[in-house]
Amino acid sequence: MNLTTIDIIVRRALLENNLPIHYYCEFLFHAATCLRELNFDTLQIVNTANLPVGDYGEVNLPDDFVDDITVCVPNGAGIFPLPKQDWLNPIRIHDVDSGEFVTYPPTDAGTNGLTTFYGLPMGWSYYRNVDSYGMYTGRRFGAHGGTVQGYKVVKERRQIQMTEAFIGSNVVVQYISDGQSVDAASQIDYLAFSTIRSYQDWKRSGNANNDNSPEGRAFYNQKRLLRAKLNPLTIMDIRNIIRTSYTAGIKM
Amino acid sequence: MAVTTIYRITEQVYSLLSGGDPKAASSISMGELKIAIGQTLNAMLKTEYFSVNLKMGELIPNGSVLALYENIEVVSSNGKSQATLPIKPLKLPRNMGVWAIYPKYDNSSNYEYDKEFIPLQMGQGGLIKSQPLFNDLLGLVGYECFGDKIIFTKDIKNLFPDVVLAMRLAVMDISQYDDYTALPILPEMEMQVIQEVYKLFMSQPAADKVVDQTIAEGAGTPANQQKQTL
Repeated sequence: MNLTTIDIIVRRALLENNLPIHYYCEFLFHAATCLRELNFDTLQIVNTANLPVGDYGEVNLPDDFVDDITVCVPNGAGIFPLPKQDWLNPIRIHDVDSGEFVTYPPTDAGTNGLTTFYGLPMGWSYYRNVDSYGMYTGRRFGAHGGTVQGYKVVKERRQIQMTEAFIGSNVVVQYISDGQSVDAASQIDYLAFSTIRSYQDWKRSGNANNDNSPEGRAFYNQKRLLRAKLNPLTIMDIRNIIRTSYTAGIKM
Repeated sequence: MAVTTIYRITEQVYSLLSGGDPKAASSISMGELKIAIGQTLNAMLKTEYFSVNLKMGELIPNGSVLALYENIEVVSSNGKSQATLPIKPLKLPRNMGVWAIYPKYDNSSNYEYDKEFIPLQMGQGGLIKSQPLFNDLLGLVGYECFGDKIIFTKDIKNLFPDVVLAMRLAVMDISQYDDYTALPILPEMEMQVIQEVYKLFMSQPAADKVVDQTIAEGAGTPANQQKQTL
């Protein structure tokens, strides 16, 4: 992938506008703002971090965290995604003596024998309801699938809270970065060059706050083109998706 | 056309003011005229920028006189580095009077004339610290100009103890030109500067004739209208 830097984009903008270096900062500010906006929905810089799980199941969010993609349990070469558990209480409790945050006592859901782990039923009836051929006969009326293991992103705490039954010392978090934590090189997809340039020109124009101005529309058009350029789908991919959706069946 | 020098312009103005060869008892000196020429040129260069460059939408002050100063010392101050402007340049938009500042990081290297520091407007140095992406200015070194002081965003003196600076400043520093060095001014300015300086000094009494009540020519001239005597 060809990458560029903000510095290159900014200096190019100065050259194109016949401006001296005294305008560097203004163009830099606009480029940074544009990069931030593009990261939310277009460039989506995805970072992956292996983060430790604390004493009360908390995971501190990275500084550039915008939104979570997956929180996974690492196991060998694989990572296994956990689901979100919105029932988790974002309020922390602390030990009355030490003052330190502690885990909640186990909830009913945590001790429910009819729950599953990664889709594998944990209840005793699973092993009982089999026929003489070892085939599962079902009949687990009222049981539900899914797992109580999981996480909740608590943005106000800047933490991820794991369920109390979580076993493991770390999780792998894939998240959308705001792109603001990149270093001096600030590597940016080269395809975004024109989009950032058009944003700079828009914000320097007299129509900086008008989305429907010619400059604003030029930016959104460039953004649309960028999204098209970034789309990885090829005709072969689409064909393959269709072909893999076929399953062999009995010929009637 | 002869090369324009400060001496040549001074002489021309002086001749006009004196109505011929300068008189020995003139109240105007060559030194005074040279200073006035420098001042007039700076005013004209600034006017030129606003009336010509800006009007055409050109922000780069092409045609300006840029004085180059080298070997300017850098000192550490309050966790940052600072330097002093050798001369106050023209006040142009975005402080373009301080056209460029280049480093020479050690004695054995050259001035980095292709890698100038990044100019910031007054107060921006503190503001950008709040912005995660460019609080380090992408690793570059910026500077703010407060009066005659240049404050850098980093302590470059601490990083490079032997660092010295070169500065290009938009100013016609008349002290940099001796009597016989060509002045880097626009040819169309020559006539204008002569006229402007002449206007400045035309009210000065010229040493022309002896005013003496005892001679017939001076008889009847009131004392407050008398001109300088030899």
